Amino acid sequence: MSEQKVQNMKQVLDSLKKKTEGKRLIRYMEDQEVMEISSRYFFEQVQEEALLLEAQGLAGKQVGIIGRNSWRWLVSFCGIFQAGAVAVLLDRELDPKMIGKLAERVELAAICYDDSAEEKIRAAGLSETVKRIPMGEKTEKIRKCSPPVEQKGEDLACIFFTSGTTAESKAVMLSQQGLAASICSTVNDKPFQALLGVLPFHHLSGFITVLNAMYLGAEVCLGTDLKYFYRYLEAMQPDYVCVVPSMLQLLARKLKKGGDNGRLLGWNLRMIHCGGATFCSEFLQLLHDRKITVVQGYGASEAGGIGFMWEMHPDRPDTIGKPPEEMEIKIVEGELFLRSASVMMGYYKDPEATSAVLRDGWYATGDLAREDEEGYLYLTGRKNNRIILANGENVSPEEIETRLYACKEICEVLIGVENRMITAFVFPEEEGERIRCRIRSAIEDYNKEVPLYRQVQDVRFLDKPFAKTTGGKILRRGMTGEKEYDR
Amino acid sequence: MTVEEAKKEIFRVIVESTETELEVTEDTSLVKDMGLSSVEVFVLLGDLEDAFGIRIPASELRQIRTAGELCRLVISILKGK
Repeated sequence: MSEQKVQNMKQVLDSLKKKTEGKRLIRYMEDQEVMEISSRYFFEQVQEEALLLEAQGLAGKQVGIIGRNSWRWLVSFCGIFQAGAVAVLLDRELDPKMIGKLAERVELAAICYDDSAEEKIRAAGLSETVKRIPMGEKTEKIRKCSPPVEQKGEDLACIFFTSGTTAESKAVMLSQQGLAASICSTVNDKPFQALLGVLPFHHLSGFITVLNAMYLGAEVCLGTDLKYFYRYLEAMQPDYVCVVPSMLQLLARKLKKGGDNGRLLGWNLRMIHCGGATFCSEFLQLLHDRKITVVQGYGASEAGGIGFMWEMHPDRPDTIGKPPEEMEIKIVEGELFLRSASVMMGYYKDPEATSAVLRDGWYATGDLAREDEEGYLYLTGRKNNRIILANGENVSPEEIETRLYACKEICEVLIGVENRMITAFVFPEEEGERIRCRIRSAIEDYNKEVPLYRQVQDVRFLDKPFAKTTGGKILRRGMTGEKEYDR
Repeated sequence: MTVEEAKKEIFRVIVESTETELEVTEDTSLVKDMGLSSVEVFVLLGDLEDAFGIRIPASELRQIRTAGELCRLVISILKGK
């Protein structure tokens, strides 16, 4: 169970400091060299950062943070809370115009940035009133100059953006209590020594997994650049890594000849947490054979850091498992609802969108799910992408897509409706009539197994992949509605 | 190293890094033909860096579609070394 007494981020930081006292906290790489940061040095830097922010009158105000994964990013992030300010997480891959728009939307008072984002900040057209604070900027010693700001559990702590289309990204607000519960969670009850944090920190899963690892007393290895994914695994030897399916695929391919825990590659991998999209169950047996535990993560940005974390077994590869103790679930008209201490406060200045998904602390995920007689849950599609046919039947496009992905010749597929027919929009692995024939044949095979109303009546071949969000999700826009699809 | 030798080595790294069974030519598209995910392309850049002792800025990727374009990028960085 999470520690109920931790109600705000200052208390979380105190707790992290105590739990990691005297330890090496972070490792990262500079070129080929592994560098180390002790807990003591890290929290000294957090304190300095907080004093700097306080001195600029930023307590209680929104402070943006943008940059690559680094220990400096984490110092700025923690420093924002220590100063009693609100952290706003921004993606450094966004174009400057969008950064400017988002900054205006959430009324940033200041922005902390690293050298990778410097040019974009300059070009973002930020208001003159937004203070620019380079990460790690040396400042004169500042003495504490203002009384501490009291943080209540229900106060706003953090804002981050859902990875929808950038123009329509929703600004998710987590409260002090919600963020504290996300970090101080013991849902991950499997022991590990060192986590490789390689998912971008501006995503909930990126920063929460790292801070949660610290809370659990583990060390954090920072992956700054995906280019060096293998190098990090070899040089820093983390035993635990959090990934998304495309990275899992990469790991599985490498591990084919990698031996137990990847030792033949010089790795020491014992656990992989895969979240973010539909799990690639085809790799499960291989990873088990390499003595690697695979954990399926399921949650939503809006639900905060507490989510499903289920150890996968090849005999039941398609489940998201059972909910953790800290979370309640219910299924209403097929839709999965989640409730826990980490669920968001709402979307920033968007009560309409908030009330559409948040009722009495329950977050409506928009995911369709079913529960079997043993309490295991299975995702069956997205509510809002439902295809409603003239005969009143509802069809989940994802369910059909998942089936069609079994056809190796299909690179990407979306199911939609065209001319009142269920239509598969397919981007094939290769061009050519031979490949198209195989895909048509796979669709016919599928059709033979399902009732007529669920059959795919037409297929349209595309000559380029679907447009995607910055998070790699396929955009359904213009094809099957306005929603996105996890890939 | 001549340009032709560099090309040959780049193709070797591409094949080894991606474990592709395709015959990679200058016209082979990294995403469309080889089906590489963005993560795979990033890792490929890391492998090329290790093989040639160079740094390839990830921002350059926006201009790269084919193996030939990747070759030209690596060779231009090698020339500037």
